[in-house]
Order: sequence, then structure tokens, then C-alpha cells
Amino acid sequence: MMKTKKLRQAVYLLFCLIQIALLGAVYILQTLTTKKAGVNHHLRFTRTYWMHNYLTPQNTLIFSIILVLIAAVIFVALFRLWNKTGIYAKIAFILSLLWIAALLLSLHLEIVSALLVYPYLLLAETIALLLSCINIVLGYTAHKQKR
Amino acid sequence: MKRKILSLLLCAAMVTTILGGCAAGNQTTSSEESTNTTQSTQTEDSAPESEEITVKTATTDDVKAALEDENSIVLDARISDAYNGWQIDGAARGGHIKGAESFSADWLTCDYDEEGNLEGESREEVLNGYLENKKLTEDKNVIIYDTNGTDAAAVADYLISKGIKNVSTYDANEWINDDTLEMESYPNYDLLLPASLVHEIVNGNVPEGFTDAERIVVVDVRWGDNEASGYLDGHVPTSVHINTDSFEPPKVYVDGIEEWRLADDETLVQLLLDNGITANDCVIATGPEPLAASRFAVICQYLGVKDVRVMNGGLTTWNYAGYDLETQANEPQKETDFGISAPANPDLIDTIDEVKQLLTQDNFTLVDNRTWEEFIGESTGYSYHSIAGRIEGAVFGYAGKNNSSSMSYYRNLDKTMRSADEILAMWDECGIDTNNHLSFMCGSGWRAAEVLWDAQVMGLTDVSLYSDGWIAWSNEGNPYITGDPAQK
Repeated sequence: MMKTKKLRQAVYLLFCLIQIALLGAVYILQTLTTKKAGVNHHLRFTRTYWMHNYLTPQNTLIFSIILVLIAAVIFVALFRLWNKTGIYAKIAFILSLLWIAALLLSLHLEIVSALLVYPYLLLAETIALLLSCINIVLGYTAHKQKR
Repeated sequence: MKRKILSLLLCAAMVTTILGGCAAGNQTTSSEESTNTTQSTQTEDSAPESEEITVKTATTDDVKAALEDENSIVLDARISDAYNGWQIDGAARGGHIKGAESFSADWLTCDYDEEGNLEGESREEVLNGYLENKKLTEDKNVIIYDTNGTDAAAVADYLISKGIKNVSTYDANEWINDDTLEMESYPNYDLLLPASLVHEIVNGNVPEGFTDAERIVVVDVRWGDNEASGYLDGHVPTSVHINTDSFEPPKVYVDGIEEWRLADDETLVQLLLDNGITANDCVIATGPEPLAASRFAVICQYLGVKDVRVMNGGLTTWNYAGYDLETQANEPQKETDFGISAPANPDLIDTIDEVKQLLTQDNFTLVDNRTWEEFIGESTGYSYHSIAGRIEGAVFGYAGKNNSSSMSYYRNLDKTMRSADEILAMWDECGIDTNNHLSFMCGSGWRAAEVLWDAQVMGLTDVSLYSDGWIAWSNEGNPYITGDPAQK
């Protein structure tokens, strides 16, 4: 029992670190766009390709709606489980909502979509959101075990 | 009495001990001598071997005989600019002894990124490749010449270390000063400038007759702005920075795909004017990468700049010569009138439609200067291109081994141009007929521009650049093929 709990906490921490690393990687990539021709060309190409094929206005709208729905579910879960969860799940809840907010801003702010690293930023934020959602479950179940 | 006897015995014992000690000391000395003798013998034993591989001094007659002998090789150990045709170190004539191959001593010690180079090859691996390519095997008689008395010795030492025993050096001044002995230079060797000459020019010592252009403009060509490109970290003094994005700005030509094709003529002319270049000038293209410098040089030629040169080897040769770099930006004096109607040489750059038309002609060869993997369609060569293959009818013409930015088949270790004989032999093996009109292509015109420049140095005139290359061809939906042509 104790072992499983520790494992969950370890995975939780690992996922938190991955989220930070993802943000760091995106930052480094954006910095390299002005320093390395190869990185610049690759990111320009990728951004244009993604904007044309995947990040169309219609897809952006669908993605935004999905994000709002996920946010609504998280909100409901947050209010219902706030008193039944520990600090780990609460942090994960808040991080998830922050990632959703970041994704929505990234999708709709031109200053963000103009960044060459834009597709990778969206990818990083989406993965981070996913990891945060998993962390909610991990935090919640770990807390339940404790009780 | 007893005391006397005891004293005598003691004295005798002491004398015996001392004598014995001395004897032992003598024995030790003898042993050391013996060891020394052995060592000496060993040295003497190896001495005959050293004598066998002692570098001899060749005469002019030896060189003449070696040029006729298939088991002998004559090597030029001077810098490749001297081999190409420049009069270096006060030599009376430029160029190389006809039939000699280039093996510059600089390649043994020049700047070389052992770990971070594009091909992932160590200097030793590259040099081994040269030995193999030049057929420098242990059984060959090799005469190495120079004009400064040090280059040939350095190459000789290296070849001896590789097991070549019959090595001689030759002072080529004897040959050079004898007008009856034949020297060979590339027809347009002056398109590639030695770093030493550029150094003289930027210091205001322009050799008489160097150019009949009004002004000399030195440019430093590399990607990125002044800071990001590394221009401010160091460039050839007085050079003006040209960002490669300024002549091939990123643009969407086909939906959803960003490309870096050559800008339109109007943009190119404006770029030159903004950088103080008119048709009446002499442009010297420098930079860390001869690829970028050659690319810009071809553009200048295409537009009609009177005199265009490239610094051979880029900053590698400049740095190796020990010349200082400048770290402050040079602002160009903008011009408003190019002086002629541009492009003055439109045939130098082929468009996609022109290539399609030319491919129907018998006397035309489209030379594909990419890696073999790109040519057969195993790799696109670029992280920003997704289609792999080649234009049907294009002939493989080499560029690099493993990397789409590498030009290892066309360069020496110090990034200078490979010898013309070797390039022509490579083309011959590929079935490239230099009597045809040759249009060079690669992914987007960089590698091909350097090959085009080399071709012009070698004196080929019926040549051009298919600048848009494979990336534009494939993105535009034109037909292409894949696979090894030999297996079809």
C-alpha cells in the first residue's frame, strides 16, 4: 500500500518536472530561432505547415471549445472534491486550469501565434495539460489511500 | 701482540671491504655501460631503418622523371591558392608543375572541428581518404615540392608516418624560375582569392592590375542579423554583412509550405544598392562558409557586377594565416543607381521552366549536387522539406557524404577548392560531359552555387545554376523519381 502511494507521488513529481522541462525546451527553441539557420528554417516551415493544415480557424475553434469543456469538468471536479483531496491534487487542479488558460491565450493571441515556435508551444502546453490531468488522478488517489 | 694482530685483521677486513665495494661499483658501472651499449646498439639497429626513410632531395631531372613514371607521384605541398595559379611567396610564376597533385601542408594543421564537423570525420580519416584518392600507397615514390622549404618537409614527415618510404622533397623555385619548364594554372584561378591577398586589399594595398573596377567592396555573407550571425564576433575587416535571408527571404509559394527561393531581380538589385554595390564594382565575398559566399557571388555575376571574387576557404584560411578579425559593424554607403539594366547575365540562373525545356536537349546535363541519399530519394536532406527524390534526367554530381550542408567532395580540409583534376575525374565517373551545357542544382541553390563557382574557376563557360533546386521543383508538384539509377 505504502509502496504504491510512494510510486504515485514519484510519478506525480516526475510529471511536474516534465511540465517545467517542456516550457524550458520551448523557450530554448525560440531563442535558437535567431541563432541557428537550421532551427529557424525548420520552425518557420513547421509553423506554416501547421497553420495551413491543422491550426485552421475551424480547428482552432473546435480545440477552444474542447478546452472550455475540459475546464468546466475540472471546475466541477474541483468544487466537489476540494475538501476531499490533498495538496497534490489541488496543485494539479490549479495547474490544469492554468494550462487551459495558456492554451486558450496561445490559440487566440496573435502575438503568440506569430512566434516561430508556436506549434511546439501548443504541443508542449497540450502535453503539460494532459500530465496535469493525470496528476489530479494521482494526487486524488494517493490522498484517498492515505485516508 | 694480540691487539696488533686484531688491528691488522681489521685493516685487512676494511681493505677487503673497500676493495670489494669498489669492485662492486665497477661492476655496476660496467653494467650501466653495458645497458647503454645495448641501447646504443638498439639505436644503431634502428638507425639503418631511419636512414632508409630519410627524406632525400630531388633534382629537377628527378621531378621530370617522376612525372613520366606511373609508380611516382609529385605532390604540391604549398597552399592551394599557389597550386591554383596565384604567385605566392614571391614566386616568379603561379600555378603548379603540370601533372603534380595538391597536398597542402596546411591540411595537416589548419583549423578543423574534429568532433563537430558536418561529416563526423576526424582529420586523420579525411587525410586517409586523400591518401587513398591520390593513390599514395607505400610502394610509391613520392616527390613533394614547395617554395618555402618547410611545407614539403611537413608533408614528407606525414607520408613517412603513414608508411611511405621513398619520399623526397624538391625546391620548386628551380622549376618556377626556369621558363622552359611547364607550369599549369586554372583558367580563372583569380575568381578565388588567397586570404593573404584579401588581407593586403583590406589594408589598402591593392596589387596593380588586380581589377579595373571602380571600387572594391568586401562583403561577409552569412545567415542572420549582425549579432546572431556571428558577424560581430569577427569578420574580415571593412566587410559589410549580407544576411542570406535578404536575397532569399522566406516566403510561401505553394500553400502551406515556406521556402527560401532566390528573390526577384528587383529585390536583388535593391539589396546590392543598399550595400553600396553597383555594376561597376569589384565584390569580394567572404564569410565563415564558402557556400554562402559563392551563393552571393553568383547572384552578383547574374545581375552584372563587373568583377566578382570569392575568398578561397572562407574564414578558415584567414584565421589560419593569423590575420585579425574585426568586431565592429561596417555600415555600407548606399547607392541609388546600379548602372546597368539587370540582370545582365540572365542565362547564369535557370528557372524551373527553363530546366524543363533544357532537359529535352541532348547537349544539356542537369548535375545534381546533393548527397547520394537525397539523390535516390532516401532522404529529403532538410528538416524543412518533406519530399524525397530527384528530377528525372538529372545526373548525380556529388556534394557531401552525409549532410545537406556539406561540400566535402568539392573541398579540401581547409575548405579551399579541391583540385580541378579530381573534380573532373569525379564528374567523369558520374558520366558528366563537360562539353555539354551544365546546370548545377541542389536543394535550394547553395551547394550548387559553390560547384558552379568551381566550374568557372576551372574555365567552364557553358554553365549555369538551377537555383530553385529540388525543394521548389518537388513542392510545385513536378514529376520526380526515386531509387538507384544503376538498378533500373
